[in-house]
Amino acid sequence: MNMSVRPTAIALFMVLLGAAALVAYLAFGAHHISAASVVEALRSPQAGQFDHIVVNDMRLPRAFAACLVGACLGVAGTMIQGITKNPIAEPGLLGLNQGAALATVVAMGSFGLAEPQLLTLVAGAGVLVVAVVVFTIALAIPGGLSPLTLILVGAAVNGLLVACLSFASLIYEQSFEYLRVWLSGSLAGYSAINNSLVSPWVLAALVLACWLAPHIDRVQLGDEVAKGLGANLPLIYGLSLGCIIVLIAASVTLAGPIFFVGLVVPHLLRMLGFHRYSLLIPLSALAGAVLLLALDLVARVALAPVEISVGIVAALVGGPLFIGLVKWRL
Amino acid sequence: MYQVLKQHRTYSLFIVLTALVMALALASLLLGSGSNVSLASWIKGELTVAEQLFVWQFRMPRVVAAACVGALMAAAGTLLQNITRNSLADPSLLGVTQGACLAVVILVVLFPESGGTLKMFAALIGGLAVAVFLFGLSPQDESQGTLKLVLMGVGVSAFLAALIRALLTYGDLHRAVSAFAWMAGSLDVVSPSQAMGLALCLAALIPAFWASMNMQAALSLGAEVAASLGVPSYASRGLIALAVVAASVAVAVVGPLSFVGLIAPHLVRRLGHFSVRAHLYLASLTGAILVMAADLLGRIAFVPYQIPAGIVTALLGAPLFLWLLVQARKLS
Repeated sequence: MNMSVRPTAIALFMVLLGAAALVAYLAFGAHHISAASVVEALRSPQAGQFDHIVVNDMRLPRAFAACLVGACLGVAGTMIQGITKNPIAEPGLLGLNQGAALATVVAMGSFGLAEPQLLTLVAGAGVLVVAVVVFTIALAIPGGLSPLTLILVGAAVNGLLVACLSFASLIYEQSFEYLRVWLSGSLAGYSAINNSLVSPWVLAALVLACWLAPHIDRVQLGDEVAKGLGANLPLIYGLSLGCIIVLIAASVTLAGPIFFVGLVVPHLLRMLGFHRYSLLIPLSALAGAVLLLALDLVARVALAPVEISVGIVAALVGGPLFIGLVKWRL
Repeated sequence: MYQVLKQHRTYSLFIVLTALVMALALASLLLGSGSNVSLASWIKGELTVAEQLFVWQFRMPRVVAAACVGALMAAAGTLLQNITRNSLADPSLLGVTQGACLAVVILVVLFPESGGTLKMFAALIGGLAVAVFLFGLSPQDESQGTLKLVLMGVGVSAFLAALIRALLTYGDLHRAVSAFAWMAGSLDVVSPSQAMGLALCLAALIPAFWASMNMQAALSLGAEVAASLGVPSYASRGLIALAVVAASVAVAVVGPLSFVGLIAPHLVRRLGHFSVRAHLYLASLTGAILVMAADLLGRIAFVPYQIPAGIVTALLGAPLFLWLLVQARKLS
């Protein structure tokens, strides 16, 4: 009885926390709005009221983008940890974010692409290429997907991609001003159009991820046991990778490369007592959204009126967490 | 003849590498995007004023700096690999170069007019701080130690990279552009005095490295063996500090150059078994060759674009590193 009540209670608590975070997000900022006004703006918006405009036209779309990005990163991180059975795997450390960013930068700079749909596709192609490279190399090493090997391969590929990105920043001097903020992972340049273009893909990927979750549980038992239980391993791995690619591509298109969120979310959930991926994956969408809302709020408010990038806040919080995880939990 | 060479592998390799260094230096002095000076006219002393400018003012400091930086990074990497007994240790992988880099960036953001010496001090402090942090955090138990050390190093370097990016994103645009260029590991802005300073530092560090050879050899056999051979317990910390100093000095002048400290010792190991002393010398020479070649390639391969040496070393070094990973695991 106790075992099944506790997860539900925590999940409900997270939903409430999320609602509170949303209201706080809409209330605080360079221009403070009271919570009552926020609720009023959401329920019965009146054109012409400045507060309502700020809430509905400026902050709400950005909150939606933050939730999307957070959900994407959370689920992608959890899935990577699931399919590599590696508790410290993270899309950013494996170079996936950077790959998407580099592809986008090159597309914008060399080919002048600006349409969000196309850019998302390009970002997805970037993630795909990097993922293929990293996993192929890691698999070529006997001892394969051990934590150390995968992270090292990821660090090497990351080093390469960062060098290419530096080079790109040097070449595309005109877009440097815009690029350097986006490259640090920022929601400041979001647009509502991007939200609506990207969300169908994200929704589809999230649904697929939730469907795959019980299969990933089976994979945790080891390849042979999973096959014995009837799991179609190539299909599971392939679909999971596809999910991860779509999710990362979407989040990079919306907010640029953000690190460590995909690492922190599953670990926080594990500390709260969830261990099975059938629970972890849906919850990491929720937890990721809430986390990113909180991080973006901090980013907007901490040094008001100057805005810090979300990516930087995430790294400042997530970096020490990663180090602590390696030291005490590995 | 070949048998004789094989027997005296160390000496022959030493000679070959030194010859390569000379050849690359000559090539770097003569070739370039500005104008290619012909060897014949140089020997005859018939250089025009413009050509003399190119050779002595622009390229000479670059060549000297490239050789020194390569040697310093390679020596630091070899030292770290010997002490941590982890063939994947490298100043940039452990976050030391990022620490030095961050310190310099902070200095430049706060005090834009600081001179080269101040930057060098800042880099030293930054690198040492990261080293102290990492080695203070790492567990004393050696079996798990190196794995966790490298992983924490990766985390620290990612964290510091984010901090650096934060500082550059919100600073003045022009300074940010030049800082980005510096962070790509560029030999562009090396002045003759900086090159001199680098050479002096290298010369000053050589005795330290030389004196540490025996301790390194003992430590590379493991902590217990080293202790029984009489190596004092603070020795490994001191040697790590030496490696960090070497890497930080290089970073202070040229910016972070990744992979050189990692690849050079490995390349030498592939060429045969050497004593620790010979390995260090040969690795330093190899490092100098790598950086000089990278700089030369960056300057002439994609005219009119000048690719910073750091990018070339990353572009070449990362695949090399990955290939080495695959090979090493296949053998074990």
